[in-house]
Amino acid sequence: MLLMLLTATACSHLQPQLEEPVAQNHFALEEGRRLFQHYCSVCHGSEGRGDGHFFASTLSPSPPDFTVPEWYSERSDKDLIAAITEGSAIRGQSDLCPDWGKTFASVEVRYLATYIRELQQQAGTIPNQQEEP
Amino acid sequence: MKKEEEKTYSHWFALAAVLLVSFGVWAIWWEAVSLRPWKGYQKDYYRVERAKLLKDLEQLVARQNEIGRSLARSDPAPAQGLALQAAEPVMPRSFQNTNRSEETQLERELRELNAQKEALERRLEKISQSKIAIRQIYLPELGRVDRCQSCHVAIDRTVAVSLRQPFASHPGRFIFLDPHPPDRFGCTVCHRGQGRATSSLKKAHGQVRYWLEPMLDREHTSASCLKCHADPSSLRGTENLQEGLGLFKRYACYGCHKVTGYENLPKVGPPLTEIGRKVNYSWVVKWIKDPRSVIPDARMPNFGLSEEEAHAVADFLFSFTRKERVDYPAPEVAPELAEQGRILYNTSRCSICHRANNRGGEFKEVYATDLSLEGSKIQQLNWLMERIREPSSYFPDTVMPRYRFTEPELRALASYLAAEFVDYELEESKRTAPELITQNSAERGRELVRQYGCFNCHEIQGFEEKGKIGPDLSKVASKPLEQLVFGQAQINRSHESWFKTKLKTPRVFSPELRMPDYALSDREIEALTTVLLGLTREKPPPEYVVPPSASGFALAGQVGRLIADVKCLTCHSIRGRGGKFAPDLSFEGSAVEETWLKDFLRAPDMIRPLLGQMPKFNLNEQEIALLAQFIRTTLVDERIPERDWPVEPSSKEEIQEGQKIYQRSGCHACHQIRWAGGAVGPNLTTVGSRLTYSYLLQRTKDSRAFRPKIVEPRYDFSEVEAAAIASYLKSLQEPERVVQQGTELNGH
Repeated sequence: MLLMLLTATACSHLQPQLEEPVAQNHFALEEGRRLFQHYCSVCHGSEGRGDGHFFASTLSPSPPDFTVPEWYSERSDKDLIAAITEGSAIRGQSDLCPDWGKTFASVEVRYLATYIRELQQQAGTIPNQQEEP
Repeated sequence: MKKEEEKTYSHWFALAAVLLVSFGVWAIWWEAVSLRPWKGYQKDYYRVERAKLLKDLEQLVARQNEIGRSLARSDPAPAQGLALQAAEPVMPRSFQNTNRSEETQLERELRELNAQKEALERRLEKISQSKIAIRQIYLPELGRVDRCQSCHVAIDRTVAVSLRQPFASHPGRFIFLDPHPPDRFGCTVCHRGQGRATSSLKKAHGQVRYWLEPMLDREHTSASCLKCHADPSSLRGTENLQEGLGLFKRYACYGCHKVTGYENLPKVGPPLTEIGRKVNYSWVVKWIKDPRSVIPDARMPNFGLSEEEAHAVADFLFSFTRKERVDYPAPEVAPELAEQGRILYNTSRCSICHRANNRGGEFKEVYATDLSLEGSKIQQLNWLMERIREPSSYFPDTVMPRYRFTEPELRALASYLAAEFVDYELEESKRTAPELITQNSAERGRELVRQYGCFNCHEIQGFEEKGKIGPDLSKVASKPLEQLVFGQAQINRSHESWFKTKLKTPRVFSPELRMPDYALSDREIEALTTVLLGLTREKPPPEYVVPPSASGFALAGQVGRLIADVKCLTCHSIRGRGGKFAPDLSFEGSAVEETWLKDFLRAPDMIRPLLGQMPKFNLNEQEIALLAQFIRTTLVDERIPERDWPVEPSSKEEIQEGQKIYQRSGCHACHQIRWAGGAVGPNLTTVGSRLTYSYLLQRTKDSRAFRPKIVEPRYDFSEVEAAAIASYLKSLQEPERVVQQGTELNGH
């Protein structure tokens, strides 16, 4: 019996326990949210619906609603990052959103892209991202 | 019975031997494997990284083959915008030269991919040779030995292999790790925990009984910043801590609790000795009993007094100036006067600071009285008029500016407040005849004031010299757990849960506790807990500490008195001193034209939609001239050179060029010129009359040099482009106020 007890205690430490995988990096989301609220929400609205507080409705074309399927379904993550970095003009849209790649570090652009995806998830329109292996 | 020589004990010996051997095996296993989980983690990590690298390599080789094939065909394949893990995004130039540039672009991509392939292969080689070993950082100056990297192998790596702990790399490297390289700081100085432990997760994270510094939660990690950074307000990544510090100041915890760095601050509430002449009795009782029943987001806490106790305290306070409990009905005022007052209220922008009937009060750092019940609260109109005329006569430490109102204006404003902000319930409950205050009641009130420490936030006659009634919090996070009273509360035995529980229900641990209830939201509790967890005993060596930056601006002399009277520094900052609500004025003299400045001080209009409009302070001509001269001569910046020789005005071509650049850069998304554009940034229709050419030029070249937190993106314009834009903007002027370039010093 002593033997069994001893081996039992040993076995519980056999495999190191790994934490549950997280789908999104918390810090990326928080920093992305902060950056979005400060820089982007004035035109794009605080939830990315294109309803920015400050006369965004008078802009033509007005900023799009990020959370509708028609908008995001054609855009991969790479497209999103490219659009933020290079600006809307080079991507074939209006010239109203500048190339933020000069203002942000590339990692900050990734944080923004992470947050925008999160906004889309919160709007309930896309399922959860694939989990990390 | 067997004979002795026929008995055998070999079975017992066999059993004993088996036990001994198995015990030995177990002991060796326990020591070598179970107590060394880091071995397993490191092996797993290398396996995961290897798998990922191999996958990346596979994709890379596939892409290389694809490019190889398309080059061989010399048939332009669609160029990919970004290579697999480009450090900087590739920005394509114009689309005109597609054919030629695609060829070279593909070849460039191939070259980059080759370089990456080599890097991947080198890394694979390296990890196949890695030893499984303890990794430690030895920091004698900090008295720490951190072995965290034995399990968190990749914490220092820039490329993330996995988001799972313990394989993840540190988030926000450029914010957290670059200023604090691990080989000089280690891990536990910020995260706490038991750096030397390696035998289990709980032990390494310090979540064991006798380790006094358990690892901080993700939300509370910024608590450790307070150790070295006295002023974290400009630090990125400390938002939780900054929110907590803001709350700490708002609720003035330092009133009752001594905290290093918060000594000698003025008492946060108004003085109460004269309150019998100011406020109606019924209002006082209601307020003392539960401030939030009167004003929903009042910052004065609830002391849990009974009706009778509240009356006693009110009696005591009234007894300084009166013999009776007195109520006055809301003053009757002429409607036209009230209407005039309303207009004045709006042009003076009182609602920036004062909230009333759920409107206004966006400037949260300043706690201004909520005016929703002002008409019913104040006894007489004259008192209100006097208070607005000279705010510091009643409350010397007020931050309210002195508007230079005339007598009729004061009467109109006070009438507006008395007419508009009347609470009918309060009016109903007012006494119609005064009641005498009994000696007993007043004495009881005095005793209650002494017991609950009202004098820690309010000046009260007779209690001026009394000390703080709460315990010293300067090192509260280092207080041994045995000294924290948990009472009967069923919570975790940790500092964090004690702080949270205390903030939520301050008197839960023991019946004789006196701390009042602030009705904090969960988020506020989290933020304040971060602050409390940061108040430790640890003093890092001087080379690690960042002292607070000294402000280079002192209020002195005529201008100093004027600024102190109008309280400019409540909203604006000058050379590191002042508020952050309105723009920094440190370089205002170099940036603006004097004529515009004077007109603005006479009647401010809205410049920045994001910030709103400055109030009109009714300064007289001498005061305006004084301020304008002070700003133009003293608040200057060497980076914005004054031109002291006449320069030809910009050529028409340059102005047109500037206009073209303006249009193609998308500036009209945020700025308006005449009717076109968005209203995020200032309207630029007459910006040439407002700003100097030098400032326009310097700012176009690098806007963040002057206003670090603006929303405007960076454009990296060349010298020529910046000059063109500045010329164009300078040409946009008001017809009556045309300013020629080159007359900046002489123009008045």
